[in-house]
Amino acid sequence: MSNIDIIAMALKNLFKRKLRTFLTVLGVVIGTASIVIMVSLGLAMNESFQKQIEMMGDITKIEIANPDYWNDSAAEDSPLTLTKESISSLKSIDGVKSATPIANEYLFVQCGKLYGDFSVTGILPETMEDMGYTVSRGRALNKDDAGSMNVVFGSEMLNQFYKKGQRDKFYREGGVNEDPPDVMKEKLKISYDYEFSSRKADKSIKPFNINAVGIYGDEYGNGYSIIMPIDAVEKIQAERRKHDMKDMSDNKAKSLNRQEQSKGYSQAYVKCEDMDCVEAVAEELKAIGYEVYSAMDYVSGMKKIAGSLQLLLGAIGSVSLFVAAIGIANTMIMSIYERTAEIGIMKVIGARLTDIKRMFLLEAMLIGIIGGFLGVIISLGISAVLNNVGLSFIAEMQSVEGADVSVIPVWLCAAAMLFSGVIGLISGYLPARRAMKLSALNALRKN
Amino acid sequence: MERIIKVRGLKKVFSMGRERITALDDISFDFYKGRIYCLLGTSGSGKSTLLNMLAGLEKPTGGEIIFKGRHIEKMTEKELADFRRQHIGFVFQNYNLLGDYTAIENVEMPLIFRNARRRLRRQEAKKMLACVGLKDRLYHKPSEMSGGQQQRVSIARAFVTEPEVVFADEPTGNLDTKTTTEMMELITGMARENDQTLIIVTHDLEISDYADVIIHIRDGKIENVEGETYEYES
Repeated sequence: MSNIDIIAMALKNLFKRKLRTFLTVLGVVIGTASIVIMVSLGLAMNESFQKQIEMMGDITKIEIANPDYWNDSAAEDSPLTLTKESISSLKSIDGVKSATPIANEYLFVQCGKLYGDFSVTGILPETMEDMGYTVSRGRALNKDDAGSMNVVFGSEMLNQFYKKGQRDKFYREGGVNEDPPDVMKEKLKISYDYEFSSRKADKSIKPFNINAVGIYGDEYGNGYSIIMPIDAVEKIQAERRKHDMKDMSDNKAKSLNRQEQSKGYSQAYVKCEDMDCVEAVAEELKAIGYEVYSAMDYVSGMKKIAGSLQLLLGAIGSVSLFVAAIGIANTMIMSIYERTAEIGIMKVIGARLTDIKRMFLLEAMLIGIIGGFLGVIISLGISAVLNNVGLSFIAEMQSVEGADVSVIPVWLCAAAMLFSGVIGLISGYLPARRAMKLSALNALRKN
Repeated sequence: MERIIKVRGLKKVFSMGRERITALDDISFDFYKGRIYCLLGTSGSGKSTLLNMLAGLEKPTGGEIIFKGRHIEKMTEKELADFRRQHIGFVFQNYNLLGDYTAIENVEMPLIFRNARRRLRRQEAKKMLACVGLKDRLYHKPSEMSGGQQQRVSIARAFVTEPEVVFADEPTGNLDTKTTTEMMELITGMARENDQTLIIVTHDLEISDYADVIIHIRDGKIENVEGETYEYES
């Protein structure tokens, strides 16, 4: 018996009992829709979780700190001292792409006639792109910027400029400048003098000229500091130390200087090749003795929760599909009772056993596939409603604004239809075998 | 003359609870190609049981049935289905048409199981229905036809695959005298035309007039045979 004939016959039989077929299909529709919706909620959760990760900045970046740095007695000769050399040697760890020492400062900038108070991060200029700073205008720092006063501004800082002498007023009024200056065009100066922006500025402190070559920051606003070549930051720090110690004796100043230098850097960034090696690298760095912070810690915890939540949602959805499967089996068995005579006649006039089996299997599978198809369509509708009307409750739970509550990718549609077809096939198997094994003679006698 | 079915020492015992009923007792017979046989007997004589066993619908308790060299009693369910599809046609007392299908679809059905091409089998079915005089009833369902017409469809269905043997179990049991005559002429005419073996089960003496060989069956045994001209070797 050819496939086309079997399909035609199966469809004919399904259509013959419209109400029963409809009800059975309805069961599959509900089952499929409930699984698809549940999985789509889980997927949406995953997606918004992925967004949150992106918001946290670069998760392949690990921050390390020297725990001995703040402990004066341990600082000297500590094996953990972060120097340019020791940091560079971290690159030999498997999975590390690059590493840079970090020098953080809080400095004061003049931009034309405006002033601003900014955090400044000094890094090796050639590592800027590796460290996940995405430049939106101009360019990133590179190797050639070493020793220069070229800087890259964070995008979130541009509206933080205030007029001379109006720092307190500016921050009292919310700290937003509606008319930000173009830092890449204006003349820029930077100083370590807190009163740089006021009339009380220390005339003896000479500000440095700096030059903005770019703006960085992504859509989530990770751009809250000025990135500077680390040696430029060190130059400013040295200048400040000199200024602070101008009243000290030369010897005392020298020893303080030496002590400061022997401590090395307090922090460094290590960039990993990809997400998968972050945990291993972090473990290795911890083993060396550094204090390690990586966003990955948080990510892996969240992933576990998301995973088990998805499993739970899927399980809830599966229950209704399981019930639908029982419905299919029941319908098929009833259909076999009804059609006992028909099966008998077919057997006597030459139907193969496999023909009979295939006929019933196909009917069950068609119920599954049709139900799966309609179920997917209905879930797409429900998903659209959820996303548009929005379950603010769930959205809040996920703490990401504007994220979808339900996401149904194409593969989920395909998988759902395939799955419901397979469910149909499985639930049709026993009834089909039963039909196949009916004794032709007994079936005829029933007629 | 070619022998189609060889029956030797055929036995069938039914168990009804504790009681054992012998339906067929040591039947031996030969059926030849192109002849028309009538198994004549009263109700309960065992004639239908014999037919069912010849057609592979029922397993004998003992003995052998050899269809062109193949032992039917040893076949599996699957082999029996293949055997029926390839060699046998059936006409039943109650027609046994598929109620949801039209006349032409019913006649087509055995061809569908033989994987015949759609156009070809439509043609064949149409031709067959025309032969039995139902040219105008192609698309009627069984419920829209008289008993005689239904039996004609059933005959068309039995002959459409050109089987070597056609079994007819009380084919006229539900029909009036006039239709019975028509039906018997039709079925025997078709069998003779194609040199097919026809085995009819009946309790009606008039029906047996159409047969070449009449086998009287009584209490599960062959009582006597009329018209047989061939001896069978044991």
